Amino acid sequence: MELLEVRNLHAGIEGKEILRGVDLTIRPGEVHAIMGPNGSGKSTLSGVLAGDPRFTVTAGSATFHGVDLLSLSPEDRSHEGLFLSFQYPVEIPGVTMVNFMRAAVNAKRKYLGQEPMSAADFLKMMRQKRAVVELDNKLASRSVNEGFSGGEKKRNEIFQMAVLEPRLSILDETDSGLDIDALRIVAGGVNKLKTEQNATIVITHYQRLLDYIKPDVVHILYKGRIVHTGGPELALELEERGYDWIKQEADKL
Amino acid sequence: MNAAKAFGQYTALIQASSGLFANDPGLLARFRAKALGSLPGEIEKYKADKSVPAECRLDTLYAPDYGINLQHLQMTADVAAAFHCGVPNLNCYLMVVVGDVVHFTSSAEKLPEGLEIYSLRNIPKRYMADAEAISERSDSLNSLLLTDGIYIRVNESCRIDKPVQIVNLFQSDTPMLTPRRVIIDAGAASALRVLLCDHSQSPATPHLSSEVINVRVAKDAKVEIYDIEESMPSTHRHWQLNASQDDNSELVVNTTYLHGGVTANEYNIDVDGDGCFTSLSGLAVLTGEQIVSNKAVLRHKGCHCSSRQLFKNAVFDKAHGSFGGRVVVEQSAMHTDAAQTNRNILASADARMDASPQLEIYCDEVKASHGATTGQLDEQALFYMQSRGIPRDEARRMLTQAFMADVIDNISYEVLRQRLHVLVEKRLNGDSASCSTCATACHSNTAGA
Repeated sequence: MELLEVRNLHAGIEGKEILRGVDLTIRPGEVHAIMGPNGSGKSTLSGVLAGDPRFTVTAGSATFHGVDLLSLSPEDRSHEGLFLSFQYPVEIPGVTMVNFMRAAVNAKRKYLGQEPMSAADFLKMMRQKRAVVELDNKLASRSVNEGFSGGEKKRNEIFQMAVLEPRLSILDETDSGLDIDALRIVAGGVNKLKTEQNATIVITHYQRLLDYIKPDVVHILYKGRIVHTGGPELALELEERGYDWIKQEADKL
Repeated sequence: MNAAKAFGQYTALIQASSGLFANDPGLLARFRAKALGSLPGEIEKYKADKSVPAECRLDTLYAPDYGINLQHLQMTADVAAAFHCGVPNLNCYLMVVVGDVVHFTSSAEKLPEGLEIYSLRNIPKRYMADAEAISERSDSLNSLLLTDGIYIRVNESCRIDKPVQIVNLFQSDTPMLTPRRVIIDAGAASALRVLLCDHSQSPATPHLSSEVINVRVAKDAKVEIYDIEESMPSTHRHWQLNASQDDNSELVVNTTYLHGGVTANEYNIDVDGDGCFTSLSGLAVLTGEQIVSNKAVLRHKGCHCSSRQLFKNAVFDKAHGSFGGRVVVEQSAMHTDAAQTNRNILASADARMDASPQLEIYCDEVKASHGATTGQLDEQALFYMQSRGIPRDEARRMLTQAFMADVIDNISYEVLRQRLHVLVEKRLNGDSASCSTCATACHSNTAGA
């Protein structure tokens, strides 16, 4: 069965249509890259799938392992196994990472009908998961993302992904603002979390990230539609030729 | 009933029962005589006060026909006797005020060297002049109706570690006005912590608690006053703090409103000396139709003083918060460093907040700032938390608690700080204010009393 099935998705913000009929099918075990020029709707697509209230869906459907994704609250989408790594992780002064993650983990357990995790088990899990992205222990007692460097924020996103063990992760420009070492750690974390059962959507401008996270399928989003789909070689071609040929091809239609 | 009539009724009542005061202790009689003189002028001031919500104006607060325990009947001594404070590790010298009757618990009977506590009914003659001087600027109605109160004295150079806790309890089947008074006299280079808690055990009975706290902080002394209000919607409160600071002294005042009805808090702080520090802060969580007003006047007169004010309100439902803060830097107050901050969250469309931060500066060599913001919770932060699976309501609670956190984190008294974090969290979780479930569990043993 497909993990995610998006059909003819239309969505916009404040009356302005941004997605104009997106179709996308993702199966377990796959890594999909979505590339495209600025303003093509990449972040809107990830926001709409995660339930960002700023966007309004005007038509189409998204089915997530048989569940009508668009009818769920953002928190229930998370509980069902969707994860969005934010392009700009939000700083939350006054809420510590530990309390934040404990609330997230226990909310999911409650949704699944499980007992809350004991403090000892929780701390043990936090330790294990931190290792995935070499996240410093001292960040755990700090407020969520507050005063984190760009690299720490992105590592923190992948750490949260490791804790929540999603079926589908959407990495929204996870490479932006990362130096090469941080990029390697973040990508390494994503690869460690890859299994036959889960899948990843990597949204990026650049081929560079795809050297570390190897996609099975590459899509090009332009003017709110997926105009081109191919294998990993498509990303290399884009790196070489830019987006103009795609734009010309798409605008002809 | 109009307010002037209501006051008239209270004064008439006093005059009619003057026979009762034949044996009255000297200090209370002096307060009463002074109040009778100043009351008419003060009532006119109340009526003209536009700086607080109408519900918090004193002529409104005092207007209902409350009963007064002028005969100082001690019908509820058992409540105080059965009182048990369950706040963990808060080992205090405990006083319990039931209605307006002061009870000393055993912990307040054996006091350390240098700390003295008296009921105003039997304050020693040698301290009366001090107590009267410190009380100079008290609300006249409170002075008029007072039948008891507490005088706390810390002698020179005595630093008292263990806090003095005063618990105000209300328990009555008939509507009551309970005047309460605490006079704190901190001698030179002394240190004292006072914890004030307001509770009610009669949810159905209208109650007005009139509280005046008068404080003198002498040279080099440090006084900390923490007030926690967790009463009932049927309890209204007028709370007035009047303080003066001498050279190099430190004053910390913090109020936490967890539950109540209509509350009017007033702070009048005169920084007379040089080199002083003043911290004035408060937080309020308001739900239903609760109303809280915090009105502060901080007057800098001495040189090289600094002051910090921080007030935060989280206003839900149809509740109404108000902040009026005035910092006056007089011509003499060279090198003052004053900062005033007021931040509020309006959590519903019907919630209301009035904010009026004011600076009055009559001196050139000054660093002063003030700011007030009122807004909603950050939608991006809410979505971020939801996207991690945290339900929206819980995310809202966590963000509101985080918003309040710095007011509590300012408190240097660690045990209380931790306790307040828990109390605010429980409050935001919607825990009831009724005494049996109140998080302080401070009088769980009184259930059968």
